Amino acid sequence: MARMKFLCDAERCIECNACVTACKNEHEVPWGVNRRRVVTINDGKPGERSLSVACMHCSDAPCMAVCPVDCFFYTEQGVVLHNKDLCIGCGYCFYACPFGAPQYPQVGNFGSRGKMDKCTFCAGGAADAGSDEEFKKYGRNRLAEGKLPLCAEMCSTKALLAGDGDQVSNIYRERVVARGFGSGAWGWSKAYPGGGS
Amino acid sequence: MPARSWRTVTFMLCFSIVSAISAHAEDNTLRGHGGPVKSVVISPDGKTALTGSFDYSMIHWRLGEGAPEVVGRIADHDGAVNSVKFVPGTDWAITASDDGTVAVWDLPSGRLVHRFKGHTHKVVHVAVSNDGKWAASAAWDRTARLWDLTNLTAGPLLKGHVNTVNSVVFSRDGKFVYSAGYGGEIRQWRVEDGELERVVYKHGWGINVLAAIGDGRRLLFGALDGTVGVVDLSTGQPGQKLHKFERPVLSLTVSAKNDVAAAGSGDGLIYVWDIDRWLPKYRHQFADGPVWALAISSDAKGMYFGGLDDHVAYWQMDPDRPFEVAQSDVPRRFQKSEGLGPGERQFARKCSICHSLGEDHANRAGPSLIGLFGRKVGTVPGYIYSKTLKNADFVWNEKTIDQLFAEGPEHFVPGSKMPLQKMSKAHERLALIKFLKRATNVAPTDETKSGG
Repeated sequence: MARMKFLCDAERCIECNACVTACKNEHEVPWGVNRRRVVTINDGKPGERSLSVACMHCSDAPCMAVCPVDCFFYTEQGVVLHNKDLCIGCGYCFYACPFGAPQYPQVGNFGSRGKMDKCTFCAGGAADAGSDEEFKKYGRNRLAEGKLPLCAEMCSTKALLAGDGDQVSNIYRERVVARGFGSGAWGWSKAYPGGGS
Repeated sequence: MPARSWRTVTFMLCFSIVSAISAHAEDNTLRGHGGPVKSVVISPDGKTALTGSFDYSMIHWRLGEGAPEVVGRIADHDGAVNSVKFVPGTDWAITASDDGTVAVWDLPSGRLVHRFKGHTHKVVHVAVSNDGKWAASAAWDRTARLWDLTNLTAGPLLKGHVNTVNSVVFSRDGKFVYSAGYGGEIRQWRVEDGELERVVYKHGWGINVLAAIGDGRRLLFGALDGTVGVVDLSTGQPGQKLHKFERPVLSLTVSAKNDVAAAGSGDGLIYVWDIDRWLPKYRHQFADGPVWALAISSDAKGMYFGGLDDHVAYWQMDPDRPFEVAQSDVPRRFQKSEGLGPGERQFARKCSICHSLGEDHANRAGPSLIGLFGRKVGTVPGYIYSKTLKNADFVWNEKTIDQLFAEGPEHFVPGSKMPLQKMSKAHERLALIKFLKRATNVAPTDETKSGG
């Protein structure tokens, strides 16, 4: 079984935000929630780099460790999903995620706890694959349709890679060899300790 | 990390020792909350403590000989209480809540002194200046705010963080306030006018917690990447990285005498350092979840810590008695899923964190469900209801409970304290209702029937 992983090659990301737009559109993510975002460091200065960041679907996900109601789970492909029926919107996972993945919509009366929302690796969620319920709660289940996450599929420079960890790792390794350097796989060692290049 | 410097290395391996909990350790456990505890502070004289919890309440404790006593419980927030502090020079306490407010309380009377409004998202941390004149709050609306505690008016808005603000601390002289958050920067603001003085330090990874060291020259920070570091305020340089946890740092504390500091992490590790030389002093592995709240006892010999449990545990550090820490009941009531019927499982996983089935509310965020069927909404004695439920006019029965979870509380009873909780599957709602009918089957009293 493939182990799904993301990798963003900072040497290739051009900050076009197509991945962000694709994600919003594909999953009809509500206003105020960004499952994916592009972060630019040293903006306008030498050494400027951009990165597309979302849930990295960590091998040993820290969000799981702090969730009071154990709403997170792994799929067989290593995707970290959560059950919105169980989530109590406490916000604890935000303090645990190095990638700022958990998002909390402002809903209902002030102070009410909205269900956490995050990137699903386009793998749906805790509902029947392809059902209306799944789409409404979690977004489209592209993996069940045999497709990869749309953010990576859309990436014109192929900075953002998604798929089986071994293949993603091989692609990146080939790039590093070809260009002679490779410092751009930000977050890879944090998300997949011992499991990446 | 030199092994010889550890005075204690604790592992949760020996359950037979764990079970031999001494009366001493039990005596210091703070039992009274009805949900995970997010904040604990000890008064400067060491005689009292405050705790804030997911159960929407703050508890004021009396410490000393024997078991801690609850002096008062204040449950007048509409959301979790994330942070609590004493106000120096007064009998006041201050709380920051998920409901977006910062509230000042008179501890002897339990009376609300003032509720500061202005944040537009959950308020996650509050700090008070050493002279007790100012409070500062950190919120997920990407701002920090100052509050004038003398005139009980809003002070300057500290705007500039590009993401959530997680923590605030005052400088020793009260002239500046420091803030940090997911953006990974520590910012220094002038209290006088709220102007940004400078960005003190950029860590890169998000910063969860800040703590001031009493000399006024250094700040401690704890970050998402597991770093605990000390920042020299004169240079803005990280003078020392104390430790790199495997998991994010969730809590920090400094002792009253400024001689000991401690940090707690997402995987339950607590590290304690001697501030003079920044040598590690103690280490404790709490096996049952994250450490959200930490406070060192006034004699610096013990540590109070809270996490996902209803209680705040006490670990005696000196002399070390690590196995005497009160144990968690794992899996906790809201984590159970094995061996339960479908309705009971729904209740355990979705309801029990906020509701009890017992005769009392068990200090949980919501009222007890005992006698639920046939009870007029908003009428359980002793529970502080929202205006919505106080004014609502219907009775809880199979139909209304089904509606509640089919539509969601935000539609069925908009304005109530109940968080979003829908059950879209009819068979799940039916199972829950069946279980609740059985588990809450106590005839309502005349008082609740008539709306008392």
